[in-house]
Amino acid sequence: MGRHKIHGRDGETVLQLQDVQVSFSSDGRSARALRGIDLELREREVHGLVGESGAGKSVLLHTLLHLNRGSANVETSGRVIYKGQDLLTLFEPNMRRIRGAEISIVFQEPAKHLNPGLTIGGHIEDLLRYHRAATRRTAGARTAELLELVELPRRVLRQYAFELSGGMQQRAMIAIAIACNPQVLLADEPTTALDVTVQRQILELLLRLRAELGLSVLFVSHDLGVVHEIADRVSVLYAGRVVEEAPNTVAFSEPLHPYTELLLRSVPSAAVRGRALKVIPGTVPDASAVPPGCAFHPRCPIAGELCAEQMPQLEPACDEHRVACFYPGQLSALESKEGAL
Amino acid sequence: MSPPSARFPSLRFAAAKLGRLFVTVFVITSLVFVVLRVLPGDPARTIAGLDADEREVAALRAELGTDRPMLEQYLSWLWAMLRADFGSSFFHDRPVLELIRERVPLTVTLSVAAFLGALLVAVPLGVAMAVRRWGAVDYFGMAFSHLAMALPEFWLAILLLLAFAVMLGWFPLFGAETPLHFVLPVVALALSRAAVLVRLVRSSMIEELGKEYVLAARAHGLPEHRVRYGYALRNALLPVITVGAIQFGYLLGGSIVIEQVFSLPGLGRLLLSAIYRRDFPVVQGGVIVTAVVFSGVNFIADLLYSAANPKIRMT
Repeated sequence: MGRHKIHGRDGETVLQLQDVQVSFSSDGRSARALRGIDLELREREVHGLVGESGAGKSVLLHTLLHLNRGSANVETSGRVIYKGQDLLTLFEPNMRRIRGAEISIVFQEPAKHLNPGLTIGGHIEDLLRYHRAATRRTAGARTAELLELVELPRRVLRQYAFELSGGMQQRAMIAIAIACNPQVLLADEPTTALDVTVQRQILELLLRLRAELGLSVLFVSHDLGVVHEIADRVSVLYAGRVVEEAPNTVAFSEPLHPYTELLLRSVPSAAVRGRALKVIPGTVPDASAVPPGCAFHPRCPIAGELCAEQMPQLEPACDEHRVACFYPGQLSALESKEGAL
Repeated sequence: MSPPSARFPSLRFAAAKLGRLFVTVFVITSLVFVVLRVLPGDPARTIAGLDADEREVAALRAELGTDRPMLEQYLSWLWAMLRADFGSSFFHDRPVLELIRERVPLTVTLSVAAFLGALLVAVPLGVAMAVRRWGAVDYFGMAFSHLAMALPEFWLAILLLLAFAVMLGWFPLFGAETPLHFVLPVVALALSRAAVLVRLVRSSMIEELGKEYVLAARAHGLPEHRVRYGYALRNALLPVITVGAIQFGYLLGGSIVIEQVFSLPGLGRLLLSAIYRRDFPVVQGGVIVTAVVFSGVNFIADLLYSAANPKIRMT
């Protein structure tokens, strides 16, 4: 149920999410943040995960790393397959060895995510110490190498986050994240807090690191433009489910899900130049009150009766293109018909 | 910008703080000088006795120098201060400095012991409370904190004396001969300081644990003990340094009362009796010493704070 055959794909799968569900409950209220995520990260690919705020992007990343803490009760189901094991079943000591060492993460606001009382070098040393049993002395060579890799001057080692510019902070954060040579890098909106020129530099750095280190990157963002620039494949997240998954160019030129289509039109970009920008009516549903059937149906211009009753599954539409919609591609077809009339 | 050399605060930073220390001490002592002379009460009359005749008192005033205009007294006092001359007591006929020197070790021992005791209770307890918020330890700590803050020190001191010295007889009642003599006064002083500090440590620790860098450290696979005690606690203790120094000031004040209750011959008792007797030189000398100690502790706290906080160090 909710799982699909993988076909016609090259590139080994590094990380595979199968029907991952997460719900939080507190004070008798429960919120279903993830409602069956199917996602596949392949080796050396940059996989863009797009969604509005509230779609479940952060919850997904936190779930992957077992970081859902707090007073709310968390219920998780499904599987996250990494190197033949299900990460969701791992106990903390084993999971800790994977976090940061094999699956690492870069955050949105580096200034806040760096310890204000620790130098950049101190951060890197800490990771090497606890994952690689390195001492301060043996860590030295690796630290220097890392700084070179992210194009930071050596003095940064002894500097604190507040002494660095936003771009340098993000480079430092990346150096820390890749210190132990992880296979998978999760990128949680790593460029959102940066200005445009710096944004581009960080994207280029990530692409270069992917090529040089063979990283697989899950790039989470609400920024379609950035994802279009960096991703090989794109998954679109809506209300805790992946509604469409396609190669980058396909997702942006021939989206099949009406949500993707409308999302693209709501963003000013070259792809939709000449058309009026549209706003999708309504908002992303709250995780505690997700509509039945297709979660998007109340906002969908082409929703039928079926959409309110049954939940569409993510199914292959054509090669490398999967969509969870009963009427894939109908939105643009309908509109071109109307236009012809 | 030279971050590597900035492991410790710069000399300029220290000099500026030191300058401020001198200004503070100067202002405080000048204030005390004026207040002592404006308040009713005449040392000459106290010495001579209530039934002494006016001529005798006037002669004494001339001898003590309290008959001169206040500005003149003030200037000659300042001049003496510059030569580190604290004068002699009106009553004991001994140099003030000597009287104070006899008393300072006891008060300092008492305050430092109480301060360390308070920290020793507050830091581990506050951290344990923050780590398991709304757990059993947290409720216990909160109850302790409420109770210890609500109880006045002198009353707590009397209770402790009654229970442990009078009824149980575990500790001596009065005096300062053995370390045992210090246990009850130190506990009485430390408890209310610990009560304040424990809340600070708890809230500060909770705040740090909720910050993004803690999440990031966990996400990068650092072990929980490193995340809590290497990352969060280190940053959580920054405000404790500053508030701790102020709490030390309260301790100095509190020891005046505690020394009274436990009949300990410390600086507090010396000051108190000097105030009763309008022994101006002793009061002034005592206040100067207390002010210097208090400002000195704050000065050290400032240096510590800037050594621990790289952001301050840079400015």
